[in-house]
Amino acid sequence: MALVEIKNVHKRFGNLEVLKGVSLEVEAGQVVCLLGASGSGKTTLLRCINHLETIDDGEIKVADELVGYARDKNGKLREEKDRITSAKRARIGMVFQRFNLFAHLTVLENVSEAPVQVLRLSADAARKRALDLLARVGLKDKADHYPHELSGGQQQRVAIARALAMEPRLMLFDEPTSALDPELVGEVLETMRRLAAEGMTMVVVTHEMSFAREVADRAIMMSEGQIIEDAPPEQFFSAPSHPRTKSFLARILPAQN
Amino acid sequence: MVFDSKAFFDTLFSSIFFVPALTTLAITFLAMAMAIVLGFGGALAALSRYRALRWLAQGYLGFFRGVPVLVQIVFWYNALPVLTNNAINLPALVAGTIALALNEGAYMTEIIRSGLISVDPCQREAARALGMTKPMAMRRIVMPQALKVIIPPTGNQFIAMLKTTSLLFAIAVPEIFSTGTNIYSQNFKYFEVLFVVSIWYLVLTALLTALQKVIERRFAVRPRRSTVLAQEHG
Ligand SMILES: Nc1ncnc2c1ncn2[C@@H]1O[C@H](COP(=O)(O)OP(=O)(O)O)[C@@H](O)[C@H]1O
Ligand SMILES: [Mg+2]
Repeated sequence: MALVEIKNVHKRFGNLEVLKGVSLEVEAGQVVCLLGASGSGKTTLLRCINHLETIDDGEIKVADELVGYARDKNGKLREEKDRITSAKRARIGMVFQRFNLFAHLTVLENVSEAPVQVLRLSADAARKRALDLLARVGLKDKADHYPHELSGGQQQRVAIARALAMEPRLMLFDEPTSALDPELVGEVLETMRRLAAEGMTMVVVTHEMSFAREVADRAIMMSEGQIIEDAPPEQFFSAPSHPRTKSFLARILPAQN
Repeated sequence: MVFDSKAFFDTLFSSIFFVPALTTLAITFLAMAMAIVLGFGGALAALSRYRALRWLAQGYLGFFRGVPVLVQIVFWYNALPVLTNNAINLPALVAGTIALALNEGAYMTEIIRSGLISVDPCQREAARALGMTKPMAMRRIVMPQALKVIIPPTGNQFIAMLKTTSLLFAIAVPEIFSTGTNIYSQNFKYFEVLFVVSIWYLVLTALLTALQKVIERRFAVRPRRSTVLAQEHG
C-alpha cells in the first residue's frame, strides 16, 4: 500500500477546472518532484493532499486514511469534522514558498508552538525537540531571534524544522526555494537533501532541476491539471515521452546551466 | 467676566466629585468591556463564511452607527419601560451602560474586524497546516498579531467613552457632568463649575492615556529572551 494514494481527483475554482482527474501514488520513503509550468495545478494538488483545499471528485488517502472526508453509510464522501482533519493534517508537514513563519513568535516558539498546542507535549519536551531540530538545520544559535531578523534561507530552514517537529510521515514542499536569493538556495536544498537521505517521504514542487535529477525517485510533469509524465529522473530528463515535457525541459534547462 | 475664584476652589477641592468620578470610570470600563466582547462576536460574524451571520453583523453596524447615541440612551431608559408595559424597567445606571456598550460594540466590531484582516491569511494557513484547529489558530496565531492593530484604536475608544458617559446626565445618572449641572443650577456659577468638571475629565483622561501607553508597550514586539543560554547554563 502506498503512503499517498490520489485517485482521479478533480478540483474546480468556480468554472475553472484546475485538476482534471489526477491519480498518483507515492510509496513511503519516496521523493517525488512535481514539475510543470506556472498555473498547471501543482500548488493546488499539494493543498488538496492535506485538505487545505476541498476536492470536487475522486479521493485522496494518506496512510490509508481519507483526509478531510469520511464515507457515510451509502459510501458517499462527507466532509469530516475539523478536529479530525486537523489531527490527520498534523502528521503531514508542509513548507511554503514564502516560509510563513509566525511573525509574533521567536524561532524557537515557531517550532515548539504546534507540538505543545496540537500534540500536547510539555513545554520542556517541546523546547528540547525544537532545539534539537534547530541544531539539525544549523540554526540553534538563532533560537531567540524573530523571523524578520533572519535571511530567507534561514527562515525556510526554520520552517522545515517547524514542520518536522510534528514528526510527519509525509512532507509537502511548495517551491521552497523560489522566493530565495540565488545564493541562499543551496542551504535549503542541502537541508532537504539530508531529509530525503534519512528516508522522509517527500512531494516537492520545484524548479530546481538539479535537485529533481539527483534526489528524486520520480519526476512528474503536470500540465493543465493533469499528470502527463511520471518517470525516474534519468529517463525523465534524457528521454521524456510527452512533447510538452520536452518543450518544458527545453525552456527550463538551458537557463539553469 | 467675573471669575469667582472662591466658588472655583471650593468646588475643586470638595469631595462631591469623588463618587461621580468613580461612577464615570466604572461605566466606562463596564461599557467598554461589554463592547469589546460584542466587538469580537461582531467581527467574527462579519468575517464568517455564513451569509446570515455577515448580514446580522452588517445590520448591527448600520443601525447602531446610524442612530445618535443620546437617542439610544433615552430609548433604553424611558421608552423601553413604556414599550414593554414596565416588564423591563432598568435603573438609569444600567440602562445607560447598556446603551453605551451596544453603541460602542458597533465601533469595536469594525476595529477588531480590521485587526483580524490585517493579519496575512498565510499565517492562519501555516497554523492549519500544522494541525491546529480553527479556534486554536485564531487564539494562538491570528489574534496575538491582530491585537497589535486592535489595541491602539481601542485605547482611543476608551478615552472617547470616558467623555461620552457625560451624555448620561440626560437620564440623571450621577456621573461627573450631571453632578456639575446639579451644582451650577443651584449657584449659577456655570463657568467655575464647568471648569472643575473639565479638570476632572482631564485628570481621568490623563490616567487612561498613561494606562494605554503601558499596555501598548506590553504588546509591542517582545524583547528577545535568552532561552538557549538559560538551557545551556542550567
Ligand atoms: N483560490 C483560488 N481561486 C481561484 N483560482 C485559483 C485559486 N488557486 C489557484 N487558482 C487557479 O488555479 C490554477 C492552478 O493554480 P496553481 O495550483 O497555483 O498552479 P501552479 O502551482 O502549478 O502554478 C491557476 O490558474 C490559478 O489561477
Ligand atoms: Mg504554485
